[in-house]
Amino acid sequence: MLRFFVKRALLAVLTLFAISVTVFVLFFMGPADPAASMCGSKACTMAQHEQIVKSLELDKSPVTQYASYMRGVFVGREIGSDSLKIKCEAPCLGVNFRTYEPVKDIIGRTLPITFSIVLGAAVVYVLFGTALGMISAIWRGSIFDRLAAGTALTFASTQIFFLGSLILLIFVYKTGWLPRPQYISPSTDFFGWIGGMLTPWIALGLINSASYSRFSRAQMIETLGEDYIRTARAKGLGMRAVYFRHALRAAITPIVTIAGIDIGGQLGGVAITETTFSLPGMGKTALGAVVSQNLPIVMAVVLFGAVFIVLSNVIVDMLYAVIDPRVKLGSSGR
Amino acid sequence: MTANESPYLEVADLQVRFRTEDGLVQAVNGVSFSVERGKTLGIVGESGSGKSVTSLSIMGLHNPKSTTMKGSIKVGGKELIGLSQDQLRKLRGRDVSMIFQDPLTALHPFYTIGRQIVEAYRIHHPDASKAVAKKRAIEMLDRVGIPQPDRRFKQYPHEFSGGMRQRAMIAMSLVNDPNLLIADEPTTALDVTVQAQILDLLEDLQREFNSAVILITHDLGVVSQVADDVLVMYGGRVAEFGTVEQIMRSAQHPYTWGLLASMPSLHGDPDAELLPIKGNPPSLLNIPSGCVFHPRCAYAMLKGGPCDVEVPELLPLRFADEPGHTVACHLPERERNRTYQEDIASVGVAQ
Amino acid sequence: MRKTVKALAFGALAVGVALSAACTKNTGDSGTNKQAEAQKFIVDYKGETVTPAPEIEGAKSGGTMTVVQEADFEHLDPSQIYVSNALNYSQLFYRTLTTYIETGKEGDPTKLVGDLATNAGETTDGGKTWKYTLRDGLKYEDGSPILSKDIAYTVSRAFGPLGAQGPQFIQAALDANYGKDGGYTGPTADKPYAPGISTPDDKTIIFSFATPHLEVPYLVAFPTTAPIPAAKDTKEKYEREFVSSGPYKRKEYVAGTKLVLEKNPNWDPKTDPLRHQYVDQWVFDMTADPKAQTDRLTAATGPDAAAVMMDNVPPNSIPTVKGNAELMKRVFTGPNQYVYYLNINTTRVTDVDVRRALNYALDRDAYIKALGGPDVADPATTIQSPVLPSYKKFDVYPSLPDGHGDVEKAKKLLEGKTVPKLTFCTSNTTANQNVAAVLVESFKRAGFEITPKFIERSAYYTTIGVKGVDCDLMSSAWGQDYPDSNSVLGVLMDGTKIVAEGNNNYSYFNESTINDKLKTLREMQDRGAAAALYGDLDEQIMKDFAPVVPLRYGRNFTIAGPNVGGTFLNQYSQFNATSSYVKS
Repeated sequence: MLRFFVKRALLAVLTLFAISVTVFVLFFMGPADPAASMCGSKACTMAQHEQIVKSLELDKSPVTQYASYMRGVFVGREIGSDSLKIKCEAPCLGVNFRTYEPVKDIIGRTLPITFSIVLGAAVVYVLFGTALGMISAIWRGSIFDRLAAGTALTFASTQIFFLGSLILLIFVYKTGWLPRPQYISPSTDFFGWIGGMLTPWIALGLINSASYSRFSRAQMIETLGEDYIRTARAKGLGMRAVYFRHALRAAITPIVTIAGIDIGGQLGGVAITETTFSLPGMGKTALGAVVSQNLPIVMAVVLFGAVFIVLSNVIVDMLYAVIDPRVKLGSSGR
Repeated sequence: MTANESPYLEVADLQVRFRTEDGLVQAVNGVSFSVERGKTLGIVGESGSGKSVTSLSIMGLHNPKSTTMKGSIKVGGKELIGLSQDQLRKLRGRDVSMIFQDPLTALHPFYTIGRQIVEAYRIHHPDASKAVAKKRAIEMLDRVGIPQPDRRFKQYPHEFSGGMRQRAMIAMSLVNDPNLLIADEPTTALDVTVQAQILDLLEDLQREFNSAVILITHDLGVVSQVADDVLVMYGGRVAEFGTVEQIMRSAQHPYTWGLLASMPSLHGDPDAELLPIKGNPPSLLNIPSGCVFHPRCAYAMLKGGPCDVEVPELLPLRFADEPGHTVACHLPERERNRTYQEDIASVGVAQ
Repeated sequence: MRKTVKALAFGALAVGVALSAACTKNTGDSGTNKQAEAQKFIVDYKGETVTPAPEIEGAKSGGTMTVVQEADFEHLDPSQIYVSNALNYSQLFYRTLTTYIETGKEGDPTKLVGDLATNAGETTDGGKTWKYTLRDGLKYEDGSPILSKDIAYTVSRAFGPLGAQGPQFIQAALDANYGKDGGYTGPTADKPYAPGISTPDDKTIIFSFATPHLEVPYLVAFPTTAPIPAAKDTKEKYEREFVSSGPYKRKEYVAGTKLVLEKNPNWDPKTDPLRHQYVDQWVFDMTADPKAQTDRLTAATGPDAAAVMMDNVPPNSIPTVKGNAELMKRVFTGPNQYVYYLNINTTRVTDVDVRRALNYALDRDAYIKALGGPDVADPATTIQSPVLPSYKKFDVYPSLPDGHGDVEKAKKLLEGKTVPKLTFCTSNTTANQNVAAVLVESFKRAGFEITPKFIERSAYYTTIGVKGVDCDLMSSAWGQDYPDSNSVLGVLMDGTKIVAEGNNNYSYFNESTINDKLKTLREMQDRGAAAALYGDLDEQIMKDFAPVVPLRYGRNFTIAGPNVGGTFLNQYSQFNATSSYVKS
C-alpha cells in the first residue's frame, strides 16, 4: 500500500517535471514573442518591447527562466525589473504576463468553475448513462432498448458546441425555462449554483450519457452472461437482487475506471464547453492564454491538468481495489 | 415430504425449444426420466446433447420469454411447468439446488464465500438472523471439509484453491437441505486427484442428506464411480437409459459405444488407442432427419432407411434380461449385441 | 488605439488583417447609424464647453446596464489602457485632463474639450509648453481632492513597466531618451516627476517639450492622465484596485469574470462636461464570446434587455440577424477606424505608374467576396478612415462599374515597362491565404506576377517593420490612436520617421514634399482647421505617389438591448457609455 503511493508519487513528480519542461521547450522553440503580442495588432515600439521583455524576465535564457519558475513554485520569488518588483509567494506559479495578476489567483477562481462543470456533469452522465445502459441490457431487444440506442447514437455524435448552443437558444434565450449559465459559488447560493450550472450539466450529461449507456449496456450484458449470475439465480434470488447486488456490482467496475479517467482528463479544463456556455473556467482561460502567449497561465493549466490526470488514476486504482477484492494496490501490474 | 416410494423427480416427455436470432433451437426433444431420493442419475452426453438444458429446465433457469417447454417436470409431486417465475424461484436453492462446472466463475468474485453462502441461506430463511446464517454457513464449510471454516468464511473465491472452491460451492448448494442436487460437470475443471475427492464428498453427502442427485457429465468414467442409473443423451434426445451396470457392461447404442471407446480405461491395454467419435454433434437448429445420430453412426442402416428416415423409439430390450434398460436405435438387438462384443468389449476399453 | 488579440470560439485565430471586424453595407435600416462622411472637429482651447453636460433627450435615471464581453479588459490600470473597449468604458470611472464629446447626431462636430482641466490646453509658444488648470471641486471616490501633483505622478508612472503596454506618445515627447539608457523610468524619491512636468500649484500642471507638440490635447485625453493618488497606488495590483475619479466606482470586481460599478457619490456633475450618471449600476459580464453575445442580445430577456454587446456580431451570424426585422432595429452598424491596406514598398517598387497600375488592377469585388461578401467588408479608396474628422471622400483610381477594377488602365500604365515580379507578404491566417489567392489572380490580369509569402502571425508586424524588408507588397491594418490625422497620415506617410526597426510606414514612403507638408500640418495650432487639409493631402498622396492600395474599411455590426437609450457607436467603435440610460 505504502509502496504503491510512493511509487505513484514519484511517477507523478517525474510526469509533472517532464510536462513542465516540454511546455517550456515548446514555448521557446516556437516563434513566440509574448512581449510583441502584448501590443495587439500594432507593432510595439522598440522601447516598449524592451520594457515588456524586461518586466517579464524574457531577456533571460530559457534555462534560467525555468529555474526561477521552479524556485518560485517551491520558495517563491520576485518577478520583474528593478523599477517594478512583484512579490510572488510560494507556491508561485508566476504572474499573468499582461496584468501581473498572480496565476495562483487565476487558477483559484477558474478551477471551481471547471470543477463544478465537470463533477456535476459527471454525476449526471454516470448515473443517468449507467442506469439507461443497465435498463437497456435487462430489457435487451425491447423498444426501450432500441429507442435508447438510437438516442444514444444521436447524442454521441453531437458536438457540445452544437447541442449547447441549441439548449441555450431554446431553453434559455427563447423560452427562459432554464437559467442562464453562470458560476455562482455554491457556498454563497447553493441553488443559484445549481441553476447556473444546469445547462452545461444537461448538455455534457446528455452527450456523455450516450457513451456511458452504450458502454454500461455492453458491460451489463456481458456480466449477465457470467456463471455467477446463473449461480445467483440458482440460489433462488429475485431478479432485483440479481441485477443490483450481483450484476451491477461487477459491471460497475470498468465504468468507474472510465469515469475516473474521463473526469480526471476533463478537470484540466473543458474549453469548448466553457466557451459554449460562457463560463470562465480553466480551459477557456488557457485557450485565451495560448493565443496571447501568456506562458505562466498556459503552464499552470497544463500542470494542473496533468496533476488531475495522475490523481484520478490513483483514485481509480484505489477504487478498483475497494470494488474488486482480487485487486491489491501495488501488487497488480495494472 | 413425499412418500419414499415415488421418485422425487419425474420428467416426462420434456420438450424445450428456444427462439434465437438464427432460428428455433430444439434443445430437448421428448426426454423422460426419474430420480428417487438417495439415488444418483448420471446424465451423459457431449456438449449440445441437451443434458445441461434439461437440468436448467428443472431449475427453471431458462429465459421464459424465448423458451417454450412442453411435457412435465414434477419435483416432489409438484408440477413445475406452468409455474410462475416467482414460484419457481422459491423452489430454487431450497428444494432443488445446483453446482456448476467451474467454481471460479460460478462464485461471485467480489463477495466473500461466507457472504454468498449466508445469502443463499437467508433467501429461503428470511427470518434467520445474520448470526444464525453465519453459524450455519460455517457449519456447512466445515461439513464439506474446508479446514479453518471461520477464517475461510471471510475470504474471497480467488483466495481458494480449485478444489476448495468447489467444496464451498457444494456447501452453498446444500445449505438449505435440498432434496434434489444437480451437479453439472462438478469435477471437469479440477485436477484428477481433486476430482476423486469431490466425487467422494458428493457421495458422502448424498448418503447423509438422502437427497436425489443428478450428475451431469460427458465422462462415463465419473458416472461409473457414483451413479446408480445412467441416461445417455444425444441431440436433445435420450439415446439409452439403464443402470450403471447395464450401460457399462452391455451398452446398446452406437453412441454409447463411442463414449465408451473414447474413455481411457485403468484396466485395459494401456497402449490401446482411444477412439473418438468421428464428426461433430448436430446443430440443434437443424436436426438431422430420422435418428439424430445417423450421420455419425458407423452402423447406420441407410439405403432405404430406416435410420435417416424414422426417429427410433426408446424401447426396452426384448431379449436380454435387463429390466429398465432402454435404447433408441433401429439396429436389431442381436446385431447390436454382436457388434458390442466384437468391436467394443474386445478392444478392452469397456471394463 | 489598439485592437485586442482574441481567440475565436474554437481555436481559429483572428489577428491583424484577419476577419476580425464584422462589416456590412449600411442598408439604412438600423437605428442610429453614423454615416461614413467627413465630420467637423472642434478643439475647445478656450474652455467654452459648459458643465454640467446638457441632459440627454428622453433620459431616465435608474436601472442596471449590462455590457456583455468576451474576456476581461486587457488593462484597467490607467497607465496601461490602450485598447478601444477600455478607452471607452473607463470613462465611467476615470477622468482625464481632456476628453472628447460626441453626440452621435449627424452633423454634430466631435469636440476635444477640457475634462479635469478647464480647457483643451493652453500654449503660448507654438506647442512647446502646455498648461492645464484643473476645475474646482474635483474629488476622488473617497472624497479627497484631485490635485495636479496626482496627474504629474500618474504621467510619470507611465514611464515605468506599468506603462509599457499603454500608449507611449507623451513619454516619447517628454523624454528624448525614453526607453533608452539614461531615460526616465518612473517616479523615484529624487526624481518624482518625468522631465518636463511641473506643478506650480495644486491646480496647475505644465508640460514642457523640446520641440512643438500640437497633438498634446489629444495625448492627455488618454487615461495616461487619469489621476492615481500616489498613496493608493498598489502598483501591479492597481489593475484591480483602481480608484475612481468619474461618476461610477468599483463595487465588485472578479477578474476575468465580472466587474460591477456603482454610483460614485463624490463625483460632481457640475465639474464634468461629458459624463452623466443616469444608470444606477453597470455590470460588465466578461464571459460571453461574440456568438453568445449575439444570442443574448437577440433574446434580450431579463437584464439583457438593457445590455449592449462589446464585440461585433460574428460574420456567420449576420445573415440570421439580418433576417430578423425587429432585431435589425436594434442593430448598430457603421464604419470603424480601421482601414486595411496593401502597402507597396516604395523602396523596391519605385515606378509610381506601376503602383498606380496596382491600384487600378485590384479586383476589390473579388477581394470583398473572399472576406465573406459585401456584408462583411466595404471597399476602400482612401488612406484615411471615414470616421476620421479629416476624412475626404475620393477615388483616384476608379474601378469599372462592375467593381472588378480597371485592367485596361492598368495595362496602359504598364505599357513598355518590364512588369516586375512582386513578393506579397502577409500574416499566416486562413483568411489571408484566401485573400492572397484573390490578389494574385487579380493582379495577374494586368500582367503582374505575385508570389505570396506567409509570415508567422505573431512575428508579422515585427518582420515587416524592419527597414529593408524583402517584401514588395505587405498587408496591414491601421486605426488612428487619436482622432487626428497626425495619428494616421502623420504615422503612415511620414518618411522622416522611418527607423531601422519597428516602423509603421510599411510602404517606406519617403517623399520630401509630403514630409514637409505633414510637418506644416502637424504644427498647425488649430487642429480643427488642420483636419480639413489632411483630406486633401490624402488625395494628393494617393494621386501622385500611390504608396498603398487601400483595400477595405472596417465596419461595426453590433446589437443593443431594447431598453438601452442615449447611446451610439462612438469613435472607439463602442457604444457610448457616458450618455447611456436605461429606458424602463
